[in-house]
Amino acid sequence: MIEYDLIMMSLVIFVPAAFGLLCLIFPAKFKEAVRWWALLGTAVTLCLSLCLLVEYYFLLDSRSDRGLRSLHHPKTLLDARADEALRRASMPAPEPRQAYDWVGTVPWIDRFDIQYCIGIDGISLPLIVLTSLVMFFAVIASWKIETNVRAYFFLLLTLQTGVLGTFFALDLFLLYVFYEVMLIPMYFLIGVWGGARRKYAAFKFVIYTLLGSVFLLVAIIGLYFTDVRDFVDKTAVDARAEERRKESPRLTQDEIREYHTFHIPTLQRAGQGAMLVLTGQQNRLTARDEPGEGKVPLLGRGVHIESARGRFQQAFFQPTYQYLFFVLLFVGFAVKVPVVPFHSWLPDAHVEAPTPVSMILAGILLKLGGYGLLRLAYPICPWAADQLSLVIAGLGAFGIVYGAFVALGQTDFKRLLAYSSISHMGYVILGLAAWGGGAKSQYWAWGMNGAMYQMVAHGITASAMFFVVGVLYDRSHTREIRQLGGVMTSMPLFAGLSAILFFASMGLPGLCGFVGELFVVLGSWNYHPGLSLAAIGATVVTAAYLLWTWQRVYLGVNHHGHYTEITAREAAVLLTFVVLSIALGVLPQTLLLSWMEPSVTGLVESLARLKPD
Amino acid sequence: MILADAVLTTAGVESAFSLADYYPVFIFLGVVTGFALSSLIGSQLFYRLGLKPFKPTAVKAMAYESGMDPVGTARMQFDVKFYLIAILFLVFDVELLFLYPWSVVAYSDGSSPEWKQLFGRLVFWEIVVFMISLGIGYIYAWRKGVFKWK
Amino acid sequence: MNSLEHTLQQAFQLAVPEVALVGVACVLFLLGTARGVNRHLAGFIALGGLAIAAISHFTALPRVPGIETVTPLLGDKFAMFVRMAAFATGAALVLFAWNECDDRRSSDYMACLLIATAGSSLVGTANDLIFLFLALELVSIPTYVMLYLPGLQSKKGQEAVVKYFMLSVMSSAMLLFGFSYIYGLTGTTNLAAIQEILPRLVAGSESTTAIIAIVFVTAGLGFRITAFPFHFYAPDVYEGGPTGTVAFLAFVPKVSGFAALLKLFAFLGSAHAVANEFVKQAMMLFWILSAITMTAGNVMGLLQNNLKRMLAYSGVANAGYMLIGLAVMPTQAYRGIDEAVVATGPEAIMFYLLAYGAMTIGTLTVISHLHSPNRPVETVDDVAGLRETHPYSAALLGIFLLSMIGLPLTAGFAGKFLLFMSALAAPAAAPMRDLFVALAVIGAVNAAIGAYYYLRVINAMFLRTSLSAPTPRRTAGPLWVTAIICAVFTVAFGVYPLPMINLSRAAVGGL
Repeated sequence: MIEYDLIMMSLVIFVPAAFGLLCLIFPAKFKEAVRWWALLGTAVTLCLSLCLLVEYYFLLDSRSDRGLRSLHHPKTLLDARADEALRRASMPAPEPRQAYDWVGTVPWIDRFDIQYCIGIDGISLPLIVLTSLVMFFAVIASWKIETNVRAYFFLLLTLQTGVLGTFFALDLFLLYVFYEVMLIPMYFLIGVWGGARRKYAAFKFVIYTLLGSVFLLVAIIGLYFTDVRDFVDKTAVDARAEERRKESPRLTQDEIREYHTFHIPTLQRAGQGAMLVLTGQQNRLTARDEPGEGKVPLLGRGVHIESARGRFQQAFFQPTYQYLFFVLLFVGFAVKVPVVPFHSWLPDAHVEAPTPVSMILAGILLKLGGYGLLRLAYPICPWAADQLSLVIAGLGAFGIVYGAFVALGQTDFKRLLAYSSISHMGYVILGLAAWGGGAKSQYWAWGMNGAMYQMVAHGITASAMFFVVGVLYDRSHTREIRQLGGVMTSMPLFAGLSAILFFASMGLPGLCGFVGELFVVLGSWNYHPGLSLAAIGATVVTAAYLLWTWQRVYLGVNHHGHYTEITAREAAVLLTFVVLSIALGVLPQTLLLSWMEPSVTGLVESLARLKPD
Repeated sequence: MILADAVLTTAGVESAFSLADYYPVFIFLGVVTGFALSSLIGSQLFYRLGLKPFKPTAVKAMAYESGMDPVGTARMQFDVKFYLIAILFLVFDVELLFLYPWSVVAYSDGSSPEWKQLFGRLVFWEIVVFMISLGIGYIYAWRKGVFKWK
Repeated sequence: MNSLEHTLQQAFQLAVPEVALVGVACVLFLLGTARGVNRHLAGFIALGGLAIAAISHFTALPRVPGIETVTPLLGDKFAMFVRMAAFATGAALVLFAWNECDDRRSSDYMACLLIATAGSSLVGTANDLIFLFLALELVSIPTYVMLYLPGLQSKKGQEAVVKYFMLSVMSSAMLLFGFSYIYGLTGTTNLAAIQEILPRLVAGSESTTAIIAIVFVTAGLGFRITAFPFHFYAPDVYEGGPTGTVAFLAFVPKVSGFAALLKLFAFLGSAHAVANEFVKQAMMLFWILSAITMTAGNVMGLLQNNLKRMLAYSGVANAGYMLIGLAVMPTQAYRGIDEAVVATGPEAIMFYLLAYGAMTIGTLTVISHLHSPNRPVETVDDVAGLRETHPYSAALLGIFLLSMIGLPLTAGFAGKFLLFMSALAAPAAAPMRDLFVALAVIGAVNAAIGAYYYLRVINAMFLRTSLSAPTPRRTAGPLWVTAIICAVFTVAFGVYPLPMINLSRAAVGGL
């Protein structure tokens, strides 16, 4: 049966790669045609992802009861939708799959239960739209690329497929594959089209990322070995046991019922179950069709807690392994964020990458790290995350302060922005880690929402700022702040637009950077005031380095002669970024929070209920 | 047949190896040691009893190395032709040597008619294949000009 | 018909393809002495021989099952898997070595190649210690000639031959010594019988002798798979040897070595062996061997500048990854996690072997194609800027190197995934469970270390500019066929590995 949602989502993932492949068949001399073709590809993707957004809003709205929290119906949460899809598929007489649940599955490698399983919710969708948007602008910013145009756009669009696939994936293996697919295009984009030390930068980027993904791989395989049959519906386990009985008749009754999976929502449930087991709240576990007061319905339908107890002796439910899995997942994604001790690849990569690639790197790739932590590390290992939350929050706060101070000392414009990215992504980590259960869960929800908002806002401001640097570099051929100056006299429009972007990045109220940081600071205040204060204090440093930079670049005297004012192409990009940062600053609820917040809050609630205090 | 050596007892499987089965080896060892010792002792005895003259020379006192000079550099060059001849000799001689035990055992009187009926033809064709492969090697060596003393 | 006769007949039928190969090799030897025979004729005859062997594999297959386990040859699925792998590799290497030798020596080279192919195929079929040893020697002895024939003039080539010859003979001696102990312990040379007897024996007082036997056998076979302390010859031999033979050396001895190891030590995974001190010692042996081999290979690989030396160390590292599968094999006795959903060690080894073969032979194909005496391609610097001068070669080499790094959608990744999976699948009841988790982590870290030196080559090819373009001298046709087959294999079984995984599983199922 053909599912509408599966087709739509797959289109969003693979349209860029298809356009990218077709780039290669253009004759080499039609450079302009290739550019327009790539632009068309990203435009189509952007339109499709906006369609997804509308469809997702309809999904939320269809369950709306017009009440206070109208878009918060629990059945619209990704977890519930994925569960429903699994339940339908495992029925003895399979019920038709839903075409509008925005979760879709196609088997890939049956033996290991590896599936092409994709889905969207309020956590992945903002980042998907952001990716399509930034990619669209990155293609516009790539107009100046003159060498190997076909290969360049092929790699750029393949990169987009990798990133989008990672955001869509609901299967760990699939996620890993997309995550790695992204690596090679990025390597070539930095290494071939980059600046003077591009080889070194590209190399460093790949080595860091590979090391991170190797940790990820071990975690993924390790998670697969958890027997999660108690967290899957009994019908599904039965159906699979029946199949396996035919294949390997010598297995015992118990062995035949083992259930291993890469399915992310299922693993999330198992991880939450592990937290209950480890905190001595085993009795709160109950089947999903038997909810009760104070109970946590995590077990599969038809599973009774008594029968499941024996399997809580598994490695996965032991503290050592919870720590191990969390650390593996955390390090795997922390390299990408980057969290401070793993950050040293970022300044090099940014400095050497061409403008559009820098935009993508800052605007999208860093978000993959945050997304991974939010989607995998926290929900799958909540117990270890809770135990280590202070460490992680500390790392986040340290990143904020450290990034800001190091940025203050930079003279290279792009390096400065790279450290400012590290500082801004620190807010994401701090917001994530501001763990609190029970009454405090509301504050954690603020922190989480803030982290998500910060990711989107930073995606817009950071890619815009790198575009600004690109525009300046095209005219002055330098990134040294000391050699720039007096840009405002020759480019007043450009100076004005970039001023707004600087303020947005600084986190001025009314602009997009403010909302996320405010939420994070509010959330973390209730978690640990000291860290919150550090984050607040760092905003002063942020303001200092950004304002100082603006001053040095735009005011003063221009020693280099006249720069031409920005072209219509550049103005269009900058203007869109400016409009977006103002709009997201003024209407955060309408534009983003209304449909993002239910999923984030849903995730927070599902984790916070595990820790009543 | 092949499994016969595996000793299956009621208590399980035991190693079929027993040192006592190898006593001829020890007899042989004894004979060899005895020969060496008796020659040494014998020659000393003959000398002490005055039955043997004692006229040592430098050449006589040298260690015996099959005609090679035991003192001096070991890095002498031989003509490679010698090696070739040696290898050819080894190959054909050793392989032909194999024919002796075959001819003795293959159709010996002691073998049962049943055995002959089963393996008679097989054993014959085996040795034919063996000879053919030897012949191929011979033709190869010949065509390659190994037998020419260049 | 008498059952004994029937069994014998079956055993002969099983060897028909190999006999055919050796027969064609004899024809080639004789033909080589005739005048006017060129390398193309020799190549086509060799390909024809392989085709005949493959056809006779299907036509001469024994139809009626007999008392299979007492024959010196065993036609199980494992044997058929190894045979098909050997024949396919043989064909790829014939194409690879098409222009390796001049017209006068080519037929000798091809004949040796066919004999070695027959030998590696027989390793899978062997069901008898003596037969196994003969099959292994049938791989080794032609290799000496193959190393020597194409590169008579160079000093490094001669060093390679002598080094390989000496160490190979030494390793055979060790192997034979180990075999003699096994025979002494069990009183039989029949492998199936040994599998039955040895686990019962080692439970008792004979375990010290058994450990000595296993250590020596592992040492002897460790030479062939280039496991850590026995790998010293590899870099020198790879560097000095002719590329076609190096491709052979990189893969075929590994196949036969691992096939022999799996055949000999399959009993460690049988149910008798549970809770046995001896099995734990054997596991520890392979664990250490695996961890040290991959670490040593990768760390030494980091220091290499010569491409072929680098590939030699990469071969050592890959042997280390594959040894993971061997180390976890004994845990099958403690079957805890349903084996239908996870990868077993032997299965992962079989899959990874093929993936490794495709990527290594492919890499060497491209290097061999680019190399010429006037403009040698030996070091990493020599491939600099290949993207501009030879884009197709660069793309192919890129695919093979990415597979070696182990990026998803390549066969190299699928293989590593299976191996790590087999390590983590060690059941909770098995001894050393945590050590196997550690082994997977060590393997993963090693994969990241290894990525560094593969990436150096990619870096050079795609990001640097070349000082002078390589000037391929060879007629490229057969080489390209090999390279493209390898690339297709690498990508196809990376994207959809399921058929090959199922084949590997079926192959090791009977062990």
